[in-house]
Amino acid sequence: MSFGSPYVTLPRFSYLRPRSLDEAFEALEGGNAKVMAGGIGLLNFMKERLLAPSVVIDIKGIPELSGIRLSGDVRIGAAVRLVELEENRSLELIAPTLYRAVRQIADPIIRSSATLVGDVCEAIPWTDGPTALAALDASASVVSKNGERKVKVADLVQGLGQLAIDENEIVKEITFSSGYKKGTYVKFSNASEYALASVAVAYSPESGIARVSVGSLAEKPQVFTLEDAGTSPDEEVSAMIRKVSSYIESGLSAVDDILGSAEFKKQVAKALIIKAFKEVF
Amino acid sequence: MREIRLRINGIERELHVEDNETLLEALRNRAGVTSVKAACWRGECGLCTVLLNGRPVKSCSTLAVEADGKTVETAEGLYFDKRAKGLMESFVRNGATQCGFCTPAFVVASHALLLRNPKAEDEDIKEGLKGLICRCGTYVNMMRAVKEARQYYADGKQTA
Ligand SMILES: Cc1cc2nc3c(=O)[nH]c(=O)nc-3n(C[C@H](O)[C@H](O)[C@H](O)COP(=O)(O)OP(=O)(O)OC[C@H]3O[C@@H](n4cnc5c(N)ncnc54)[C@H](O)[C@@H]3O)c2cc1C
Ligand code: FES
Ligand code: FES
Repeated sequence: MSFGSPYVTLPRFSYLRPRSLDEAFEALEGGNAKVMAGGIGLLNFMKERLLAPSVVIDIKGIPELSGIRLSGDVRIGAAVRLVELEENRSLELIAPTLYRAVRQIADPIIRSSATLVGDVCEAIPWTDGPTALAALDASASVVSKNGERKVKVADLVQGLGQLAIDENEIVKEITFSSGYKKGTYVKFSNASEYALASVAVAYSPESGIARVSVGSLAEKPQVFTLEDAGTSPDEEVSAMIRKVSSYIESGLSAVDDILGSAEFKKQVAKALIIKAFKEVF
Repeated sequence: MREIRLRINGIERELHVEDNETLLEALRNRAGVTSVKAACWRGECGLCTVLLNGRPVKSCSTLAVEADGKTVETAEGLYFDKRAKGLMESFVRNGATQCGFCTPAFVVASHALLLRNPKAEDEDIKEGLKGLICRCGTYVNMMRAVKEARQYYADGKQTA
């Protein structure tokens, strides 16, 4: 084994495992520090020398960041690994959109280390977590020693590697309404596990509102809302699909990237819409 | 350097590791556990998979310091587990290894899979082993081996 070569080994850093948020804030004050949750993304970036923090702050030992709450609004702590979500069958009933997205992230072994919040904070346009959470209109609680603020997950990821939080801030948890009892997540990938296009649908039978989020086409998920979606006769579902498809064609932006051309990605998204709507309505 | 204590395959060990050392490096270079293979170093091939506190993780994407106070199981130790030994023999019977480089990881991941779901069907096995790559392409035989090994896990008891 070769020691010290990029792509294989990690640059030097000191590892800290704070026991409280305050301890973590203090560690962040020192500068050139990075938060680590599952480490799945962070360690790869560091091996590639895209990041070389002098301090790595492992947040998994902070009690406030653990736990899933399903009563009232759904709350998912930043230290919650994807496997914990997947093993929570009640989540499947309360938020099928997220549950199905989680089951399609990477593979089960990665999911036993990686966190949902880490999937968001990595800020990669092709990840599944942000797309599903944007459909659910989820918010992130962002904390620092100056207090707490809420940001929509849809506004958190601004583009590749661009996360709308400051260097001294930590995402503490993600919350969303438990009203979106119906929904799904469908994705299409070719060469990599990352989605070339993905569609999340979150539907609240009570209000008749459906939120649709299309991932991977551009720098961040694009969300739109359908009023009176309802579970309706087949002809109406077909009409809804036609409407949404033409909206994807004309109303959404798409960029060429390493996974595919803008035009190809749009066509795939339209096919995914049909699949998703047939599952939900 | 930092001292970590962990139980590797049932044996208490103290290892001196660097903060920037992965569990993969610590296991191979310091603990002499060489069934754990290094290939992609970035979480893609799964050949560095070990059980950390009973859960499969990719050791190239885990820091050694994170294993402090935990248990690590690899193919070396699983040989002494009756069920996993049956699983390994089933791999041999079904010709589920070619060059053998990926075999320890597939055994570890299949063991974890069968402990959780002793009735695993084709789809469960495909999903459970999705994070591992066999460059020799022994997947068909591996599928047969894992299914045949379900008999050893049928009583549902956990590993010692
Ligand atoms: C082989 C492979 C396949 C993959 N396939 C998929 C896929 O199909 N779909 C998909 O969506 N993703 C996929 N991923 C990405 C993977 O899901 C993410 O890397 C992982 O979820 C990140 O979570 P983590 O807990 O490991 O975060 P870490 O690696 O610990 O952190 C990632 C980044 O987020 C920051 N961060 C983490 N937590 C916080 C926090 N609480 N506050 C502020 N910043 C924070 C870190 O500083 C770091 O920059 C894949 C990754 C690999 C290696
Ligand atoms: S070496 Fe760890 S996943 Fe490939
Ligand atoms: S048997 Fe050779 S890599 Fe799997």
